[in-house]
Amino acid sequence: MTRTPSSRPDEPAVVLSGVGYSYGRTPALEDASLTVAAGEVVAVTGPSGCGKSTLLMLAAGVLRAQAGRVQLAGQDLGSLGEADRARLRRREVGLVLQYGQLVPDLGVVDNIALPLLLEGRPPGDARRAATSWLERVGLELTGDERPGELSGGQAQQVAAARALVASPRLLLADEPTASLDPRAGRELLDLMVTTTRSSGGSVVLVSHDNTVAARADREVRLRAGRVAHEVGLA
Amino acid sequence: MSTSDAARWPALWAIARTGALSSRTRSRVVALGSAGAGALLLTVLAVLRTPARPVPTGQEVVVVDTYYDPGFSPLVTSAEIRVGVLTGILLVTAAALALVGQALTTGSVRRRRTTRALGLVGVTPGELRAVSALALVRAGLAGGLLAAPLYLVLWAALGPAADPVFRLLPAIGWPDLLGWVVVVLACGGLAAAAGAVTGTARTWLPPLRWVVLGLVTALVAAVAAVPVLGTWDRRAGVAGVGLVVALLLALALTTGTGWAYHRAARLLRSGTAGAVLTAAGLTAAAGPIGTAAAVCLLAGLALGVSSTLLATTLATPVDSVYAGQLPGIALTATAAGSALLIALATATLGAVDDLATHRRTWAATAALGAEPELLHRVHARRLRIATVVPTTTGAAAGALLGTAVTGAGGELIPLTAAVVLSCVATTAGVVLGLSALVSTLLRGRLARAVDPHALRVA
Repeated sequence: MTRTPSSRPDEPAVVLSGVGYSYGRTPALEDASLTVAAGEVVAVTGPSGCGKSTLLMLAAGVLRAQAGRVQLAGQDLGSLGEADRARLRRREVGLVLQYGQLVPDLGVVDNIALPLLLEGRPPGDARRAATSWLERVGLELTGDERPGELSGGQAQQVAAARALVASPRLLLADEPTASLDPRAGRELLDLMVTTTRSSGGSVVLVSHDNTVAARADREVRLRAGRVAHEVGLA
Repeated sequence: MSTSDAARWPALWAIARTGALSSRTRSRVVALGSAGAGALLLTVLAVLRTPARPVPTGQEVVVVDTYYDPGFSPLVTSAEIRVGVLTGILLVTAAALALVGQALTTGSVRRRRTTRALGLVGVTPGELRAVSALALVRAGLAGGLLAAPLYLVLWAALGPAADPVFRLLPAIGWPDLLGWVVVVLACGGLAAAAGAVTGTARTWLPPLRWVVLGLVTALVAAVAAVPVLGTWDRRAGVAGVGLVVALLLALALTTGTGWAYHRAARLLRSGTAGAVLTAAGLTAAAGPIGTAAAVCLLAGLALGVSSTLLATTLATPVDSVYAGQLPGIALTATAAGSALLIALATATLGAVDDLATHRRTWAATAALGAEPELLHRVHARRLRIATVVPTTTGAAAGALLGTAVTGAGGELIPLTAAVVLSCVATTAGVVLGLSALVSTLLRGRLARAVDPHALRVA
């Protein structure tokens, strides 16, 4: 099945304009803006609780911005219903969350194949692609293992494979290498960036780790829910 | 116990009272289920106190002449009909107990987290068990106490009828009081024991295959023993029916979880996104789904048997062997219907618990790009699998069993076939409708389960 991108190749992957979000009475983001160009790799850094993960979830359309505007692949997420945002997300976005994002009662291969199955790919094709990604992220597993049988690092590698399997135009990764040793972390990061970039996609990496940030073209620092400053790294 | 150990109890009691080890809903369902089961057991004891004509012995077919005691309905005075009535009541009791069992397993993920956290700060497994038992013993005792007023309601409906032909229960007396005291103590004791068992992360269970093997052996032995003991003595047959029902329930409850895993494996092979997500849910909640399926199967079985008997009875001459049993069969069918409703409540409780305990998985799947409609379909399908399939299977098996028992042949064959088919179709339709209704009512909870806020914490 050939994926039909809903965005133009030169269009920014995601644009967040003055977005705000609060969890109850606790503000997480206030008036934050960020544009990620096509093919660009952006690192979002900052202290704990500054709103990095929330920014990522808003960019993916998982959370709906309470203030401001988010455009993903040229579409205003505020104007889309939940179902349309879900469809757009699975077509355009690969998402690696910090923890617990794997379905605990599915085997590793089924977990990786899930985005393709959701897109209606034939199960055989989806599983073959998933198995191939299992090898590409460097895991020597049978594929039948459950997430509960994996180490934290292995689970992150599986999550990365799942995010990459559908060749997303925007890869959003929250602390993608936090549980991996430095070498494995570097290799996974390289794989995520080169694979996404080779198909013209963009990457947003949320991390405390300076080596992760160093892999980006640009670093965006958040402080207390606002963009404190941006640093060009490339 | 040392002084320092004793000093910890106020803190442990405070933990028990917070609901960390037993939520309010769990306690309420345990109390209500225990009250229902307790009241039904008091009813059984009362029915057994009514005078009954003994079951004739021997191999000959005896026309069941209903024995009219001047004070009571033939439903309870004819020993054979009484077996049907008692089987019906015990079926509903078993369903109520299964609901209690389902309630006991709810919130297990949250409880495990709490017990681990408490273990990390030095609370011993024994103390955890005690705290967990304390959290449930109140619910059990409350259920036992509530059994009396509930029984009084039943007694008011079935006991003091002006016409003795409708009177099923004797006057209230000291045996009822004694029975109630026993029910209160049993409910409290069993709830405490259940709390202690579910209070620690590690719960010992025998290997499933041995349980299954044991139950199957017991079932085969029971079936084989009935004709051997009494050369198909009718009294042994009556006792055998009760034993077989009890064993079937135990077998269904034991194998329900394995069946859920089996269904999940089959769905995984089909491989579509909906099937894969349904399979994941079946695996995650195999225990509650297995329990609900087991009760549905038995309720379906009872519906199938009683419908066929009812139809055959209505179609045969009034002086036939089955004619006198008509009210008993009708009452058993009513009991089977009630058991089915409790089974659906059991399935609903399992579904609600699944949404609460696995909300992170639901939220992560939604974040991956699964639309709300797909997730609703997945949730509805899980509920359908737990209810429609076992109930319909049970109804079909029951209808066939009923046909075999009545030995309906010749001119009754078309009628029996029509009854079997309509019983299965009606049961499937009703359960399908109720299951869809429950899924629709749970849409709000599903929306809360997929709330992305669940992704924020580990």
